[in-house]
This record gives sequence, C-alpha cells and structure tokens, in this order.
Amino acid sequence: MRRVIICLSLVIFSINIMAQNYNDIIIKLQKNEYTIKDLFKQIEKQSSYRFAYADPATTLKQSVMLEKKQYSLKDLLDEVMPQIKYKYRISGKTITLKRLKKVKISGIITDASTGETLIGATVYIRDLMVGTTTNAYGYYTLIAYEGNYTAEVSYIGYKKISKLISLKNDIRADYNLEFSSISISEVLVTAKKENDNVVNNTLGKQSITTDYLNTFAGFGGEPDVLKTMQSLSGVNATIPGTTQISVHGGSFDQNLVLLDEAPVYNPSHTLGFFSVFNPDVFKTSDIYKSYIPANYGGRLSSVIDIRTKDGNKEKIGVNGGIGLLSSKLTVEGPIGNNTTFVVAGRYSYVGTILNFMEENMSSLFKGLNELSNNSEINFYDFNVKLNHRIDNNNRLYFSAYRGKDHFYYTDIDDQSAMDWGNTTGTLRWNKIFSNNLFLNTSLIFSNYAYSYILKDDSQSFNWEADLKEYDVKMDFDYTAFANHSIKFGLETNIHNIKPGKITPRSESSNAIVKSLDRKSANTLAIYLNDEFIINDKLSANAGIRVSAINSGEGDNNKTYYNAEPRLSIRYMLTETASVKASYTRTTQYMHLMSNSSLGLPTDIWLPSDNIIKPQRASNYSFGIYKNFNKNMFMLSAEGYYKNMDNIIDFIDNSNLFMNEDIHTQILTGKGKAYGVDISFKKLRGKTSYQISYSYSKTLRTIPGINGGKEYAASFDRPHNIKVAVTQQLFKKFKASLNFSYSSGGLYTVPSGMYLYKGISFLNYTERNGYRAPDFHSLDLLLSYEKKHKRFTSEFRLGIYNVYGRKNIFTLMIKPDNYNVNKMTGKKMYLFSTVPTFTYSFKF
Amino acid sequence: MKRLKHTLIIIITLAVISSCTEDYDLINVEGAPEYCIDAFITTNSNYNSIRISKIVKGFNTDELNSGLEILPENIAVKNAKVYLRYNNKSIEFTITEPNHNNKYVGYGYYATAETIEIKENTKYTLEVSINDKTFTAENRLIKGPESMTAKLKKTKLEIQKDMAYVPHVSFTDPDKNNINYYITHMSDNQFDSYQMTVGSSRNWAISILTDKYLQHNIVDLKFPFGTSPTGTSWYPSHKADVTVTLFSVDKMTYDYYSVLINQMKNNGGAYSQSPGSPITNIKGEAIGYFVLADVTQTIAKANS
Repeated sequence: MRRVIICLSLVIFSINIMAQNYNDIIIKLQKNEYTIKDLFKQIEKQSSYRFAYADPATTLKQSVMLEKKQYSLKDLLDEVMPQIKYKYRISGKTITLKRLKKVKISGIITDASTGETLIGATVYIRDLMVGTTTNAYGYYTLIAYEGNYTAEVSYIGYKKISKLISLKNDIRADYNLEFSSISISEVLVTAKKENDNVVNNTLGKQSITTDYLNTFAGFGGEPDVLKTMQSLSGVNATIPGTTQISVHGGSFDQNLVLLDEAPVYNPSHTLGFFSVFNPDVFKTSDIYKSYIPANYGGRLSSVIDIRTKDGNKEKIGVNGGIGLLSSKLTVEGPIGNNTTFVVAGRYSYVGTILNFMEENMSSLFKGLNELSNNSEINFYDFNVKLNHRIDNNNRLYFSAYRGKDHFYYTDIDDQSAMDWGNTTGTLRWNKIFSNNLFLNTSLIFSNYAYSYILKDDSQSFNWEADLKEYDVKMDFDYTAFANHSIKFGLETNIHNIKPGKITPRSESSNAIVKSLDRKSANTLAIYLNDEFIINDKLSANAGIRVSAINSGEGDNNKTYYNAEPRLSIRYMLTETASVKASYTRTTQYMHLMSNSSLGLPTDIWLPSDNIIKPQRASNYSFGIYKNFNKNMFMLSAEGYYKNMDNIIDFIDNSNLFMNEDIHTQILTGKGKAYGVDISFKKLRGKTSYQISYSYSKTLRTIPGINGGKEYAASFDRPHNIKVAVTQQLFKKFKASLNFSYSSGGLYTVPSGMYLYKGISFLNYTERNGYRAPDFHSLDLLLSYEKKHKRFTSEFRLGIYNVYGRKNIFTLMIKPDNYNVNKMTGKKMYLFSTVPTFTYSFKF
Repeated sequence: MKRLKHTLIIIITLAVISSCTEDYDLINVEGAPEYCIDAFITTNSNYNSIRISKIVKGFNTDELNSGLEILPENIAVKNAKVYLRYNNKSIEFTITEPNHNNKYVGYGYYATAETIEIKENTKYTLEVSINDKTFTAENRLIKGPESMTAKLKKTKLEIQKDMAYVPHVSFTDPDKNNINYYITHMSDNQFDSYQMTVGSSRNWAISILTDKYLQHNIVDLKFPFGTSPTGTSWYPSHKADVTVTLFSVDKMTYDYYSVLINQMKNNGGAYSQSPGSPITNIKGEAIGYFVLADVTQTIAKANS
C-alpha cells in the first residue's frame, strides 16, 4: 500500500512539474512580428516542446503581431492561436494544433426603445479581428471561429455593448442598442460608425442620419433631405436654393432616387424648392457618388437610397409641427406584438401665405403689390408603413407614399395651372434561410403623373401624362466563405409611359382630342457582388451587373445589352489612414426630356429605343482618408474622372410639348466630368464642424449644339465651398451656421439685338457661354428643445440668407406682350433674407 | 398675444423680401457678329429686298425704333457692296433712300433696276462686302403651288372672343413625294404686304407652314395670321380684301424662320428651353438669311 501511495505521489508530482513548466516557461522575442514558422522555431529553441499540425505549408507562412517581447508559453499560445484560427492541446512535450471550426453568427440589430432596425450597425470580434455591418434591413451575418469571445456591437449615436459569446456551432444573436444621450453637437456625422470613412471600401459613399438632417434648415425652416444632401462634398445643387442635385458633374436626372426601394421620378415640390421626403418619417439615406455597388443600376451618376422608419415597437408615438409654410403630423406605434405602423402627413400652404400677404400688407410694404392675391400653390405628402414580423426568420414590410402639387400663380401665367405627383408602393419580404443566406424580395410600384390645364374658356384643355413602373427585385446576401460577403440577385422592370393626351375641358372648348402614342419598355438586370478581405490591409468590393432593355413595337422594337463591371479597393496605410480606388461602369435606359435648367414637372421620361441609345458612363475615382485623435478629426480627398457617351441634350429653342417627333429635338454626344472633393471634419465636442471644397468641371461635345464645339453644362459650377458649424450653446440650445459658396451658373444669353423683317430678335452666341456672379449664402438656425411632463417640444428659428445676398436664380428676356419690338432683360434673384419659424412636438 | 401677432407679422413681412427682379442689359461678347443681312429674292419682284443693318449691343429699343422708320438710320449699313450672281451673270444692288411710297420704308435697303430671272435648277449666290469683310450665301429655288384660291369666313377668335374675317385657302402642293415648306404672309393691304414687315404692334405678319401633317390637296385651310408672343390672333375685324401669300422655300429656310418664331415665345429662363440663334446660310460671321422663294399669292375678296 505504501508503495502505491509513493508511486501515485511521484506521478502527481511529475504532472505538477510538467504543468508548472508549461506555465512557467518564458519565451523571449526580439521583435513584434513573426511568421509562424519563425515563431515556432523560437518556441522550440527556448523550450523542449515540439509542434504538430496539419497543413503546415499554409500555416507557416502566416504572420502574427505580438504586443510584448516576453511571454509565458501559455500566454504566447493563447495570443497567437486566435490570429491563425487554430486551437492547441498539449500532450507531453507535444503541442498539437487543430484548425478552429468555422461558425456563423447572425441576427438583427434594433433600437432598444423603438424596435427600429439599425442599418450599418457594426458587429466586431476583436480577438479574431473579424467584423461586419448590418444590411438595409438590419440583418448581419458574420463568419467566426469556435471559441469564447467578446462581441462588440456599435452604431453611431447608440451605446456600444460588449457581449460574451460562446461559439461552438452556428448561432443566432439579435442585439438591441440603447440610444445614447450624446451631446447634441455630435451630429455632424455622415457615417454609421466613427471610422467608417477610412475603413469602408465603398469609395464615395456617405450617409445621412436623422440627427444630421436636423442640423440644417431647408426653405421654410424645415429640414429637407435633398437640401441637406447638398451639404456633402461633391453633391451640389444644379441651381442653388432648389432641391435638384448634381453629383460629380452629372445632371439631376442622372441620380437614382429611391424611397424604400421605389424610384421617385420627380422628388421635388413647388417647382424645386422642397423635396417630397417628409423628414418625420426619414430614417437614413445613403448616397453613392463614385463607386456604386452592383445591386444598383439604371442611372449614370449616383444612387440616393432613402429609407423610412419602421415604426415604434414599444408604444404609440405622435409628433408634429407647425411652420410658416407647412404643417405635419406623424403617428407610429405597435399593433399587437409583431406589427408596427407609421402614418404621416404633411401639407403646405405657400399660396395661402402669399395671398394673405398681398391682401393685408400691400399698403404697408410696396413690394407686396407685385404679388398675386389669388394664387393656388400647395402640396401634400402622405406616407404609410407597416412592418410585420411573421417569425424569427420572416418579416413583411409594406411602404407607400402619395404626394401631389397644385401650382397656379397668376404672376407667372394666369391662363394655366399644373398638377403633378408621385405615388410609390413597396411590398417587401425578408427571409432568413440560414445563417449564411438572406433574401429580400420586393414588389415595387411607382407612378409619376402630371397635368397641365389651360383655363381659357374657348380653348380650355387638360393635358395629362404619366409614367408607371412595376418592379420585381430579389436580393440575396450569402456569407458561406470567410472574409467574403456575397450579394447576388435580379431586378426586372416594366415601364409604361403615356407621353401626353389632350382633352377638351368643356363642350364649348375648341380643343381637339389628341394623344401621343404610349410607350413601353422592359428592363432586366442580374448582378453579382463580392465584398471581401484580402488581408488585414487590403479589402475590395467587386461586382458585375448585366442589364438589358427592350422597347418599341414591330419594326421599332429594339434591345440593348450592357455589362457594367464595378470595383472598389481599399488599402489601409495605418489603422487610421487608407487609400481607395474604384472603377464603375453605369448605364441609363430612362431619359428625362427636360431642356430647362431646373426641370419642369411636365417634363417627360422616355426609354431608350431604336433612336435614343442608352447613356453610358465610366467613372474612375481615387481617395485618401485620414482620421486624427481617435476619429475626432477626419480629413479626406477624393478625385474623379467620368467619361460619358450617348448623353442627351436639346437643340436650341427645342419644342417638347406634345411633340410626336420628339427625337427631332434631341441630339446626343459625349461628355466628361472631373474634379476633386476635399473635406475636413471635427465630429465631437461642443463645437463640431465640417469644411469642404470641391472643384468640378462638366463638359459636353454634341454635334449640332454650339457649332459642334465643346461647351460646359449649365450646372457646371467649378468651385464649391461648404462650411457647417454646430455649437451647443446651453443645455437645450443649439445653434447651426451653414455657409455655402459656389461659382455662378451658366446661361445662354444674347449678345446683341437686331431688326429682321421689322421686329427685334436676339442674337445668341455660345451655349451656356455666360457665367453669372458667384452664389453665396449664410443660413442660421437656432433650436431650443424643451421636455414637458408628457411631451417634448422644439422651437426652431431660422434665418435663410442672413446677409441678404442677391443670388441670381435665372436670367430672362421678356418680350413685351403689346409691342413686338420691345424686350427687356431681367435678372431674377432668389430669396433675400427669409426668417422662418417652426414649432414641433413629440409625444 | 398682440405682441406675438405683431412679431409674426414682422417675420412674415420680412419673408416677403423674397425673389425680386432687376433689369439688366446685354452682355458684351467679344467677336460676336456685327451685321444682319436680310436678303429676300422671289419670283415676284415686288417682294425682292435686301436690307443690311448693324446689330445693337443693348436692349435699348429706342435705337431700333425711330418713328415711322422700320429700320432707323443709325443702324443701317449704307456702304456695302452687294451682288447677286447666277449663270455667269452678276447683278449689283445699290443703296436706296427711304421712300414711303414704296416698300423701302426705312434705311439700309439695297435695290436694283435690273430684272432677276428666278428659275429652278439654278444656283444663286449673294455676295456682300462691308469694309474689309465679305459674306456669301447660296440658295436654289423650290417650286411652289401653281395657284391658290382664298375666301373670307367670319369666325369668332379664340382668345379675344371677337368676330373677325379669317381667310381660308385652297391649293395643291407642287411635290407630292416630299414635304413642302412655306413662309406665309397676310396683309389687309396689298401695297403694305410688299414690305413684309410688322403686321401690327402686337404681331409679326409672318408665319410658317408645312404639309407634313396635311393632305397634298389642301382645301379651306385657315391661313395663318402671323406670330404673336401671346398666341393671340389678329385677323381683320372688318371685311376687306386680304392678300395672302405663300413663299415656297427649302427646309433650311423653314427651320430658320421656325427658330425665330420660337424665340419670340422663349424667355430663356430657368424653366425654358435653351435659346439660340437660328442657323444661317450666310458664311462669314453675319446673321440673317438669304431667302430664295417662289411666290403664290391671291386675294381673299371682301365680297367673297
């Protein structure tokens, strides 16, 4: 018995010695970075242990970073193994390595208080150095490795959480993030995470959040999505003061504007001074300026992807507002446990305000006499959204929008009025098949309809036109492979266009019934995109989109095919600096027949056909990004060059109204645009700001226009400077100052007047040959938020154009109605100093 | 409450310092054309006229309008050398003084006493030299309808709602296989019609017509009265003989006049199409046009 005890003790003692040796063995290192091969050599040299592992060739070549120069063997192995995705087991003097099993973690990230899905939220496992972001539906999937880790979940404006996760098999992990009571000044962020600008490999992508939107006051004092977008570098107004956008030298019809995936063909109210997007239902917006991922297509220059709120899952909420020019009301909340809703309406009464001022104040203020007193200028927006969770893997969304404008302003034309409006609807089904396959299927409807009414009794008529689009989209997210996020899908669209129909308004009218032939076109696109990590410095986003259109009937039937490769690469110079490059090929099949600088609501869209070829562009971009002081300061510079062909412009004095031969008014040719965007931002602290400068040129060469010589597009404004400063004054007071400067726009102006056959005519020289004086404006916004017992209110006082700069809106020549010999040139200025006031409340 | 209302009124009122307009004059452009050459040669010599004037650099219409002179002296070009050449023949036009008894109402007219034969299949070249600059243009005759008939119909005008006597014409297109283009002119005074100038202060008596959407045998077509910026019609309100004239021209000439007519209705502002000058057939940086036309004319009689 004594012998047995002694033997056992010896064994135990031996085991203890061995265990102590494994923990106590110190490995000294000369440097912080080793290849596995060299590191294992060091370990084997400094200890008596030996390694055994499969797949030695691949493993040995990997490099690892080490923080210290001296480790215990245990600590060293614990630090290295996750980096090379292995686990180890010690048996005697042998360290056996085994590759970690891959596991997938997936789920949905939401706002803890409202249940809103968070788009672009980050899930990151630091030990493995792997991470991902949620897609447009709040869903993420991440390939990790078995083991115990801490997952860091973050989203700008929300409290970051760190959760322990034990990964043995694929798991589903949903996270709820709490909104952070961040200082109000932390709002000048155009990204979903702080260093997104450096890390993401989508060159030229920027995002707008609700907080950012609220730092800008559009015309009338209310935040405006498209006007706020113009504060981003590289995004300019075609005519400052309006919502029409030019991105990197493209015209306003070259932007694909999506509202919950549905295209919006005319996103402006009141001839361009408001956008159709109600800020109270706005959730987030991404704009792609340079690199456009392959799942988007159909326009040359940019994609503006706007998403609306899903609805508060926890309680009924009411918010609304009253302003000088418009008022609004939104109600949202849960229906049962699995459904949420949002219903919102907005109404503008601009015409009523103008009539009121003319009737009641014209005796006091001379200038008011010039206003009309029977104007009818109004618009409304109506949004509804339903979000239903069927089960953990299935969600249904329904989103609809209806908006309409009525415009009758006697100072412009007392004989005619216009009505126009958009209707969109999206029915969407999100399906999670497994941890690595997600599907979004959407059925989309979009209708843009417009009418023009001639009021004169003897020839009164209605002219109506509309464009209907029906889309089916299927988008798959597939993450079966480590470091790859694959998207693929298809999209098919049917376009049905009524270019114009005249009908008499009454029996006494002399107008005849006349109708332009309906047009239809079908488009189809399939795409494949892979966002992948090559190594810890290099990642890429590569894809291809193949699209086609078929339009016309009989002998006029025509089909076009186009391949659109896309590539964006990001290289990390350091942890806080990167360079990116991208190439994007885009095709546009729908063309806006608008030959005015601003665009009229009565402009029509036509598809490519046997005469109008698809427009195409190749966009080359390069960017450098650097963040300082823990992402408090951001500096970026992006350059681009864009080649375009088959771009459309119109002959001088073109006539598009009810023109059956509209092709005779169109000319096509080549275009190019190039420029650079530089921006510097400070994001945190009581004072936050962003300053940007961009230079851009947009040139066209179209035979038959300007004598075939190269000319600049009317929205070519080479220099643009934007400064936005937000200052937290006191606890509840915030001030925002926004300054914008741009080169003057281009106009085609006459150089002389002459008599021909007895009356005066104008001689025009080159197309867009005159550059108007520069535009600049300073806007101020003060807001005060007050928390009451049961609700929160906000007062916003804004001053648009503080120092009353007379910015030219347009140049016109007005022939005299009573003397054909007489003409006067008129400069029309946009608004001088305009104070605005809005009051909003939220329950 | 009263103070709030007062404050609100001030705020709203300040908002009215809104869009406003200011007059502006023409922009000076270096190298812009200096001269306008209006050459109108037809198969009816009564309509032949060549008028040369300067382009005015501003909107000051006083420069263009001096009393009864359709083209005032200060912008007339009097020192040009003008020739019309065809079939090895060269006809010189010389400056003529204004004469209110004929069509030369105004300065800058060039006339010739020689007979000009206008025929098909012949190239006509206009040559104008002013100081050290030379301008040339070419054109050929397009044959027009052999004849035309017209009668007056009493019609209620669409916009003014007044009754007027509107001429309706009938004719046959000369070329059934191609599109035919016309310049039209209407006057209630045959003598005045030769001036082809202002119909009234409110309209230009010239219009254009094409048979693109018409049958070749045209019956009872409402004859265009001319062009007005407001679109209002200015047909005669009393019954009187009305001279209606068709000038058959080629497409390029038609397009020239079409652009001029569009220009009358286009203010070139943000909501309008890009304006532009019509394409001239004159070479050498001058504006205007050398028109060569076949004339078909008739009178819609008051007693028809």
